[in-house]
Amino acid sequence: MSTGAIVPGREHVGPLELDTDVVIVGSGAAGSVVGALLQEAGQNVVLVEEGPHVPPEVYGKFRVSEHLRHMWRDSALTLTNPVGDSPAINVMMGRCVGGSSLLTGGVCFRTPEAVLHEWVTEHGLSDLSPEQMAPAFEEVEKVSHISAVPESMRSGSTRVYDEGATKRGHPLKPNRRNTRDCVGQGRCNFGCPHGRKMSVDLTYLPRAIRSGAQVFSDCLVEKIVIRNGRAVGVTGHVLNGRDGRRGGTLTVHARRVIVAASAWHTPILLLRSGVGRESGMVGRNLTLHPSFRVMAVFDRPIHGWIGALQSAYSDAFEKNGFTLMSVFAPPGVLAATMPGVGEEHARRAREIPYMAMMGGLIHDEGGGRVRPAIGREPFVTYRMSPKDRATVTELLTVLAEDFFAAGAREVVLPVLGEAPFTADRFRSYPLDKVPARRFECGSQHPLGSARMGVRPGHSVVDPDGQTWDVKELFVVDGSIFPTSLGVNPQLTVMAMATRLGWKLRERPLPKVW
Amino acid sequence: MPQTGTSGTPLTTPSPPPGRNALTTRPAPAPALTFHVRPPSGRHRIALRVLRAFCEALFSTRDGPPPKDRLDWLIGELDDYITCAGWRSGGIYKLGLVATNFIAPLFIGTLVPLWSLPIEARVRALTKMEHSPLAVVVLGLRTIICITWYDHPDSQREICYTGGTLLPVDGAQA
Repeated sequence: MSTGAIVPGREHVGPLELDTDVVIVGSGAAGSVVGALLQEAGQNVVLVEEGPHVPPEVYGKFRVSEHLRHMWRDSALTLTNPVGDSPAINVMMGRCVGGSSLLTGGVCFRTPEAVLHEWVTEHGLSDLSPEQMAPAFEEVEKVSHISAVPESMRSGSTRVYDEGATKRGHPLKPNRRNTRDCVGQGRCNFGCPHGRKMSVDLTYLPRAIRSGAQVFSDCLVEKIVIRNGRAVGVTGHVLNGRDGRRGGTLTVHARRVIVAASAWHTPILLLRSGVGRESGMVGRNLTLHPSFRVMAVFDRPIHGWIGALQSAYSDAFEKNGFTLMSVFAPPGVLAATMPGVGEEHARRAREIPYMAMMGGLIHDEGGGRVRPAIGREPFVTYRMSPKDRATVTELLTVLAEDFFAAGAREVVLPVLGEAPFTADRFRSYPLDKVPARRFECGSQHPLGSARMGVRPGHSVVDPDGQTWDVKELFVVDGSIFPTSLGVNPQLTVMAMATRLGWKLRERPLPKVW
Repeated sequence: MPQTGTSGTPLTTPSPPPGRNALTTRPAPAPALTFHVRPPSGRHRIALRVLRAFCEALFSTRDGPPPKDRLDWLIGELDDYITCAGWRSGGIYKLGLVATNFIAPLFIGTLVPLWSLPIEARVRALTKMEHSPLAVVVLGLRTIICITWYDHPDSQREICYTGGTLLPVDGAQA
């Protein structure tokens, strides 16, 4: 088997059988970090990824719709099933070598100290104090080139929102992002055309490969092989051709199994392998950071697509349960979310150069659950808590009023079927009475469906990431978070993976399969 | 056998900085740099017929329906999109299309399917459905349609979308 390359399963004919020290399921922000650390420590690592390998020079040229259909899970059509007064949430995740790190806006927050304190005091995870996590954050920040976005890189959309927010007493702060020499193309979510976003396919994966790790794309892991209470490998299928039809069988014999398949698929893999059924905690406690955006129409051109995509944020409402985040979207997304068919649609689309956009995410309480379903994808339900529903009203009010303070003529709320609002109409609109199912809501941050804890009955993995009921089976991705964060989780995912990777490289491998 | 320097100590080769050239490239989906019309896959005939009716209405203006060549290109791209989405998500999308074909006309008091209605009637039906409790279905359908439609340079020109960067790239003017 060749090394130093990513082996595409889509071209592999027949069964694929491998022997290794460590197999890692998933090549995203967590799997790549652990893969690089363990391979550099001398352990033989095989990384298997369900999605295709799309090199930067190819995805950098993709049009938006091509990026969605080739690199996003379900071609970005994933929806949660709402329970109670909840919206159907469009959850966006990567399905490619490098995972969702290729889809982020590059925003990197350290975990808020209040969240880490909660994990220490309420969940008993004493290793996760801010002081003990600091070295892991520093390591990832160095490797991923994380730095503050200068104000000069802000888009017209962010600048105009900041005018209003400053007038109302909560000016934006610069975001920190994993970019190097960003030129402000404004399409980080769809693959940087210039390779300036330091996603893991440009940082950790090359390191892992240079050290000898083998990476296989288009390989679907369906089951963890467990023998005498110990994980000894994984099985699944190679996915052939452009449409990923099931090809030959995949078998990887390993002395240690590490799962990094995201909060969406890690619990499914565990449940299908019979792991964690007794605790009943696998798949529960899913949080999503439900996100909402408000658009505003101005009388002057804004050209919001020019500049760094997510350059600024505000934590002024942290205690209220939401974070404001600058963002912009491609014209097709903007046009889709404004109501109107025919001439009405054309008229609104011509206003796009005059539009600004701002978003916000809810620090949610966790009403999601992931269950196995027919086919590869899980059945996911999400119940928004009454507290979070009330926070949505507050968030949208802050966003709209900030835009009006900046001089917006009207705002477009994420309420299905509603025409744009003037300030007067907005202030008399009963936003708190709108059923949540009428909100247009997205999420890029599924977390917490196989959470870490100190007691088997209340968690899926122990503080070292090992599952309570199967030895040598570790989970290292965002599914182990005990709660949501209230901020973009990329840096926390990578720092947690770094911390666990450091522990794993010191932990002797079992001698035989 | 490691190379050694004059002092006998191993020569350490500085590792190349992480970057786009560090990965070996392999065949991958090729971007459609040209805007040719894809041949139909033949898999989603009914869904694509509804899509065409939906798109003709959505992108019609006072001057009539959108140009046929651009509509053909759009339908070809959406055909590929549905295929890539997989059986479940693609299937739900197709189900949404077929449901809209029969439900949207009910909002204007007719049982004639959307694809058989004149464009003006389709616009009225979809507008009403968009303001109903079924708005989420229309939003789901039109999102993928609009994202693809505005990928086309002619559509971008029509709304004065320029793309571009804040800073020059590789010596070129932004």
